[in-house]
Amino acid sequence: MMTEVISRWRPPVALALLVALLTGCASSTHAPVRDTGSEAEPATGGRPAGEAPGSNESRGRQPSPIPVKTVPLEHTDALQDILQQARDLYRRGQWSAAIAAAERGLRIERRSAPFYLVLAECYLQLGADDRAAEFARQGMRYTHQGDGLWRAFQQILTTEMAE
Amino acid sequence: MSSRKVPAKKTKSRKRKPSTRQKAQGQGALARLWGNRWLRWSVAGILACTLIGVLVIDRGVVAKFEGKKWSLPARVYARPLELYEGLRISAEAFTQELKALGYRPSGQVTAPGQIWRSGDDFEIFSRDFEFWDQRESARHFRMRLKAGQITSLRDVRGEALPLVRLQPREIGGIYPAHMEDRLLVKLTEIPPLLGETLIAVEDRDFLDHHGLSGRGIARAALANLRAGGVVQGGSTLTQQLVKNFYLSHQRSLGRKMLEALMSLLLELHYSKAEILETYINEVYLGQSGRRAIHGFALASEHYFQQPLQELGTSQLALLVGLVKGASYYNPWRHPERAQRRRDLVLQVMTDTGLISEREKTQAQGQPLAVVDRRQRRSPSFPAFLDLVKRQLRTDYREEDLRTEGLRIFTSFDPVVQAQAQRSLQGQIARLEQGYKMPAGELQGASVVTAVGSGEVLAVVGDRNSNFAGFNRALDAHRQVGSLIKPAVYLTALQADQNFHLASPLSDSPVVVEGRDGSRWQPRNFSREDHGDVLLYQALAHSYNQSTARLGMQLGLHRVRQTVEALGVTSQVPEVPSMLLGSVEMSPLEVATMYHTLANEGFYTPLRAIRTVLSADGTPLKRYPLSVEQRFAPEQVYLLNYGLQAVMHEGTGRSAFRRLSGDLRIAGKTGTTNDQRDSWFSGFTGDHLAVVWLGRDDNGQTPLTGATGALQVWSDMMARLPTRSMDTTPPEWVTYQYVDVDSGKPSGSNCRSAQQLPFIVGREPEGRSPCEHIENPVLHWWKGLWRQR
Repeated sequence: MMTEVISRWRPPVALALLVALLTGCASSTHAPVRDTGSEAEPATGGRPAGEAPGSNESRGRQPSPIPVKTVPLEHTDALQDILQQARDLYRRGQWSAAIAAAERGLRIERRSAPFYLVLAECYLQLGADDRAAEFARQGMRYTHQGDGLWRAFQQILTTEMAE
Repeated sequence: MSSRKVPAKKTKSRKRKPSTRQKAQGQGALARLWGNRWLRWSVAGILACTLIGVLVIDRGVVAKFEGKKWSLPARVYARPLELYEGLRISAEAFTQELKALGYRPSGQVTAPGQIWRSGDDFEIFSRDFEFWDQRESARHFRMRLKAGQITSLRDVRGEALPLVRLQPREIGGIYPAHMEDRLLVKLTEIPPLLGETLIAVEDRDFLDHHGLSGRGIARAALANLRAGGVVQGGSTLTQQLVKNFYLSHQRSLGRKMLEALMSLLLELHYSKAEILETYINEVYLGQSGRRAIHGFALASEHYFQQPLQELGTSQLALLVGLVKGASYYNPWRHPERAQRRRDLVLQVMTDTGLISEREKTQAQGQPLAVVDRRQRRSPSFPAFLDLVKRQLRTDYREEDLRTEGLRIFTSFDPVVQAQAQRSLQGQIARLEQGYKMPAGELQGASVVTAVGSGEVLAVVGDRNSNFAGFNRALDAHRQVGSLIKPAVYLTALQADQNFHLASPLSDSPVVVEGRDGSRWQPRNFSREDHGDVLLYQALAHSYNQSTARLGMQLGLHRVRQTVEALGVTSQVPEVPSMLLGSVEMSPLEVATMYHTLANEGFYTPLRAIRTVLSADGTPLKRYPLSVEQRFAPEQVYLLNYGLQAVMHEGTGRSAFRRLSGDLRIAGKTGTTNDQRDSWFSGFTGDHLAVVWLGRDDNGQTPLTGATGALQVWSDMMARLPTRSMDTTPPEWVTYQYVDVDSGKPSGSNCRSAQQLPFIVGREPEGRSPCEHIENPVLHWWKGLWRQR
């Protein structure tokens, strides 16, 4: 709470430079990582030849997992092309073909929400409401609350629940 | 000799002009004979029988020719490689893929099937292919790879291509009992030169005769005499077809007569084009193990790994030459003999004006150009094909699979399979040597799936991946040990339970007393107690005592429900030892269970097949993606944090000896009693893999999950083009600093503080005393600048 309040305030430039200098001089500290080194399943009966005990062990050690968003391929030409195909097929009423195209897109980028929407809408058209709802639920995971896609998924879920 | 002369004299005497008296005598004798009623009836009977016989034979000839001519095997294809900017693939893997598809390096790329490479730049002329959804035309394009990723994909005019789909590789078949294999081709699809050469060499009068050709026999004899060897056969193409298609290979006068009769009947009913097309698809042209190679289209793939349409003059000549004796002229076993035969065919082609003298000289100067002997034996993937067949058998009759020529498109990924095989084989050998185990004692299996689609990419069922025996990936049901623990912790993280990742658990000794007075007292692997630990630490370090205590508190029934909701269909007994993995599962079933975790709580049945088409390309069945939410995303997110901690600080951390520290992965080790089974199951953002190591006799090994299966897993993942898992928290998840000793809320500048994710409203309460790491004011300033 304290950090939140102070962070609204910006220090004067001179002070900022001083702080920057101080910061640079300060000894570096590592993130507080607990390193127990214990292992419930230790190697027993020796170690394979050429594998020095503990060799490189520290190289892979890193702070405990914190959230990192990997960049999805959502905007590549390939995905746009497939999405266009899937939507065209949907518009033409070729539901199964549109489903196949959407699955093709998801093979390239499984977190691309528009493909889940195509799947959900196609299954709705095919009368498989439960299936449509499942794809809507998964698609929502890859959208932001309140955006267009999120609302589209929400509508499908509401329809499904109403029925 | 004398017996031959006698009939000659008789013949001569018959040719003398008979006198009037003799004529009268003869006619009288005939009349007398004809007057004999019995004889009359006999002749009539013989004629009637002959006529009926001919009609029956005729019916047989027509019925077979017009019905289903051949039993066609089902063909199984790998996934097609889709090229697009951003795709991660190494230049080596890509080159390997093209090689397996029969692409040939060429200085100038002008036709389908040719490639040119200079460093990271490729120029490719792809082949057209009939996919399940559309026909993909041949494309001439350029591609650039940089640091294992496609950075540019353009056609030869420089226009950007969003996507190029290469033809999929054929990885196997389901053959008829007689093991005949063929690829059907229409006459209009074959190179005209092939048909013309075939006629020139085998039956020059084909277009003029009616099934039999006296002139052809005479000409063949003459040609053979001139060539000093047999270059032409006496039988017409029609006779050869009849012999192969309808009759046995028995040699007798009766069979020869039947062959002649059937040839005449065949010519009576069908056009020359129909007969030639059938011949081109029927003729035997080689052997690949037990599989018999029939027809020119398959022979082209077999010998040159190229479609028939791409073959040059020299290659066509070799194939036509093989008609005379595919075994005798086998180009791998008898290359000189095969080359002589090819050159003879080229000579006939020149003599008949099909090619010029210059073309002949040029073609004769070329090597046989058959595929490399090592490459010839196409790699088999018995474990994966086994899975495909099992899935197919639920929808198709065995007979149909073997005879209807189905085209089965699967999710098989040759790049992943090659790596899975290499890692399993290599690491098993290394472990055996390192632990001084008898060579060959250790066995293993692995399954790799794509995350999200649930498609199986690779299956290895034996350390010798070509061995088509017991498929451990599917059939080895072994206790899973600690691989079951995520189910216990996931149960604890569910909405009606009051646990979070920082909940303290006791890892002191625990005893469970049964109703019958039995006592179950699990111990930690290290035989050490750890006092109070946090929930995520107990999972990361795979502590048995705290897990057993937690599981008993949650209830065996609840844990069992979680295991089943994760997708496990094996029997899960409600006994305390189940909490530590006394449940038996196959690697494939473990993959199903962990895929639900990798897929953020959505269960997806694992699939190996995408689509099945009939022989004529009609879609028969699609195996679509199906998902079902079994767990809330925030619960699985928390659990996956714990599984990431396994890799960062727990039993899986040795994976980073091989893997980049930047790769975000989650997984779990598993070791069973007496170290009989070594398991590891883990996933990245793209791939999930399960590895099992152990002995077939269920004997003891020196391996744990970490020292055995994990080594195979990390070796494999280090070489696959794979991305980190996405760790963006779902809605309702927040990160907070907690003290990792007490589990109480803490601050970023406190010693032993660590950020952990919590479900909003279920965060830990209270405040941990803080031992500052650095001056709080300085820390505060730094924080300010970090925020900027």
